[in-house]
Amino acid sequence: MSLLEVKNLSIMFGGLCAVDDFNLSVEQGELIAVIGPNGAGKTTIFNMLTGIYRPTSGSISLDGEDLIGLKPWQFAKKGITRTFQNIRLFSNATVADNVKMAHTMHNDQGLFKCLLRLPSMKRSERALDEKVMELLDRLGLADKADLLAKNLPYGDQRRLEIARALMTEPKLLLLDEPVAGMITAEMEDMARLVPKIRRDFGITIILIEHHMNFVMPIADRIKVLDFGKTIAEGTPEKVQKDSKVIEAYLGGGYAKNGNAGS
Amino acid sequence: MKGKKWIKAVYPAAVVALIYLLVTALRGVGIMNGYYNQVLMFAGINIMMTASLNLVNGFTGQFCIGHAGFMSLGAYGAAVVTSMLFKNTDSVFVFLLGLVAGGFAAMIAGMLIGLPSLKLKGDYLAIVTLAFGEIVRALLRLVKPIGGARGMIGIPGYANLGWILFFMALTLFLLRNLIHSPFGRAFIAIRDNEVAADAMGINTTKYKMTSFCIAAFIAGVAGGLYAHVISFIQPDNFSFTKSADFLVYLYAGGSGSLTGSVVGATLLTILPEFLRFLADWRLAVYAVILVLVMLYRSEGLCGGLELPFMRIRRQELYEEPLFGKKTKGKGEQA
Amino acid sequence: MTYFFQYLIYGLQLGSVYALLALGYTMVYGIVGMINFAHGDFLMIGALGTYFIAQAFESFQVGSAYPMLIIGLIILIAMVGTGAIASGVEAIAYRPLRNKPRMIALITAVGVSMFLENFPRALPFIGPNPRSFPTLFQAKNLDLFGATITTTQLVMIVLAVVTMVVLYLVVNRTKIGSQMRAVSMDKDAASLMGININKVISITFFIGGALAAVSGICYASAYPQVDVYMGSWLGNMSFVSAVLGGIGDIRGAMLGGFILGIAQIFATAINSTFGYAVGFIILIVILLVKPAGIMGRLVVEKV
Repeated sequence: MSLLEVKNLSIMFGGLCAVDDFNLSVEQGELIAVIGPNGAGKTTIFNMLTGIYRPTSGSISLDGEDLIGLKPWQFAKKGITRTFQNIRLFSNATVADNVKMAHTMHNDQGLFKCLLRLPSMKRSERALDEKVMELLDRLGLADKADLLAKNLPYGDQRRLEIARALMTEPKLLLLDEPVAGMITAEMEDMARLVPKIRRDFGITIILIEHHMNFVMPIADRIKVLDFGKTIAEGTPEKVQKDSKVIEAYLGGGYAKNGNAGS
Repeated sequence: MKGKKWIKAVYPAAVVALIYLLVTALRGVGIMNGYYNQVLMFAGINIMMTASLNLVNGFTGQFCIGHAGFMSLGAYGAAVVTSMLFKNTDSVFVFLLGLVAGGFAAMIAGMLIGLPSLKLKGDYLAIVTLAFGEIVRALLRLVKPIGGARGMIGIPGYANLGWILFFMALTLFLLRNLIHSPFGRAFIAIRDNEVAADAMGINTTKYKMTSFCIAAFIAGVAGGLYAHVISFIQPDNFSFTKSADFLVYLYAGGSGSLTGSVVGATLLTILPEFLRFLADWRLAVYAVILVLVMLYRSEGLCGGLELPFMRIRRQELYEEPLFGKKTKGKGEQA
Repeated sequence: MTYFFQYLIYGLQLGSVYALLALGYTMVYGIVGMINFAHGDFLMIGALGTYFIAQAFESFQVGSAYPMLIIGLIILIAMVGTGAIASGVEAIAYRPLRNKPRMIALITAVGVSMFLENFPRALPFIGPNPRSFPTLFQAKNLDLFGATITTTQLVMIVLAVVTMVVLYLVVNRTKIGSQMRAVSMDKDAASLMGININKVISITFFIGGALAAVSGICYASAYPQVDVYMGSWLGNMSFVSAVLGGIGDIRGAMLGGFILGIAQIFATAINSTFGYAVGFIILIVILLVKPAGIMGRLVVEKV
């Protein structure tokens, strides 16, 4: 059985069909990329996969469990977390606290223990801190643990979003344009980081991107969207040669002139 | 190093004790009269009110502008217990029972109003809390057994400076612990980015409710103390003007900082007393000072900074416990 | 039935006061995005100002009323004066805080409100005592379905509706109106398009202040007593009206004002305290059903 099963997912905004009949089946451990030009409905799909939007029709199931109608925090609890295209950190909290905040749903310390700061609560805080520092260390943020998130450089903010998402211990991680606005060096860093996370945490990843050269080497499968519809899918090599994809990306004339695949 | 840690653990409690001793001594030699003593008691109560409001507005990022409503329920709840239910029992336990009853009365009201309305955002939540405060005031005016609009008189004067300092210190101690716990972090996450908090698995409604209820409880206890200081309460004592006072203390002191609440509430409670020589011009001058503070220091007097003993740094988790393995809570209770 | 109409007339009368004040509230909120807690005090300044201006024109009095021309002049002076004070308050106290968190501006507004109440209170020739408001015009009683409506009441109600319509047209049909709408949507973009934001906001406050003065004169003509604190609770009620109708929406302010006025009068007939509370109860009920008020649209945060 596949980890995530998305069937016939559609959403309408007013009269506009932002995503039309989206199907996706993700196996445990896969890395899938969803690409497409701006406005193709990629982020809308993520918003549906994390419960922020409720789809007009279709189904989403994780490990065979239907998720439609749950609230975003319940999606996270079931094991889907995400990063955001426009970074959404807890900007007035420290880097370490940002990550700890994502551990809230696993917290087993009661209110009264916390109010009185009992020894057992302190022990659990210490264990949590050790765990957080280890995670930050893996993502190269350990030396910045006590800085405020808003003071981090841009690339680090993206990493912190990933660290935070990992702290929820997800089965499925959704990365929304992880290299948007990055310079080449930062992009190369990220291209190393994403496969590393996948290996180290044994995690399944779906990522949205329109940087082809970032996606091609790391993705197992690619789905291409245009105007809410899936226009191609398959291995990077296959997608790269698809005439519809070239048309969507480079315009109709380019493909017709016989430059496809060059 | 051991010595330094001792000082750090004990000195907040020592400061509170010192204030108490100093005031008692000053009263003994006649420099400090009963009136100033009362002003200090109000300052303590206002600190509790402001710090609890800070939990909701400053740390959870919600807008409550009807905090006096909770205070009034606490005041009435406590007064009913001490001067009606246990009218003839003169005991500390009655007083404490009254305070707890007041706290719960406010907390239950907080739940009733919070459950439906915490889904509202920003200004809409603000206006509902304003409406809540005014409805509570109107309802209290209608209930005849507790005096209606004329209010309750003859509430025993159980509260003294010692009690108020104790409860104030306890409030600050508990709030400080709470803010540096998974709960406090969840509150701050909701404040900083509610969408992200939701996506990270934080049940925002639940945590907003928790914050709201704790704040209401503290406001209720503070209201109970207030009733037992002035012995006479009226629904109109707790109008929107009162709520606005706490908002002013909070933001003038600096929201998102407990130290700011202490500074704001203390200074602005005492300031009008210092301005008494201005007679009729007093409140106009006070208003000008307030506007100037907001214009030239809009992040508040403390600007979000905390005194060392009001915050808990991450590194402290790795320090040796003070009393070997069996560490008790540090701070004011030590 | 006669009672019903009589109460309805009183309700519309009170509602027109709320509506006029709520228009200013809602415009300021719509364009600057702040709750101006001092707005109610502009009503007080308008009413109290009118009292003093009327005294200055005492020599023109005929019987206990004034000639039409003089009334017009008095009202005009009060409106311009209050509008100028409102713009002044914005320039001094609110403008520097425009890009700060909204709560900061709100607390400043509380401070401004305290000042506007306590400064005249401290002035020896004003002071805290209530004064009885002069009869500006001699009212005639008319008969309506067995209930009595005075010309003053009729004028007030018509005035409120007409003002709302005019304001709606100004905002939606004129150049300054389209500038206002632009500023309300995006200040930075508006500024880049060559709109002088400071001017637009000043004008908004001026209009709000002038309307508050009118509503103050209306209120004081109906309940002829003025003091420095009259603005604070009227301000709260009109704020409630504005939110009830959907804050930021001009038609909503009007609707909210009338709903609140009528509900309050009918509830007061049962019990005076209940009359005060009923507005807040209606508010909570409506917000729970329609979280952005009757006419308001909820802005959904884009993810």
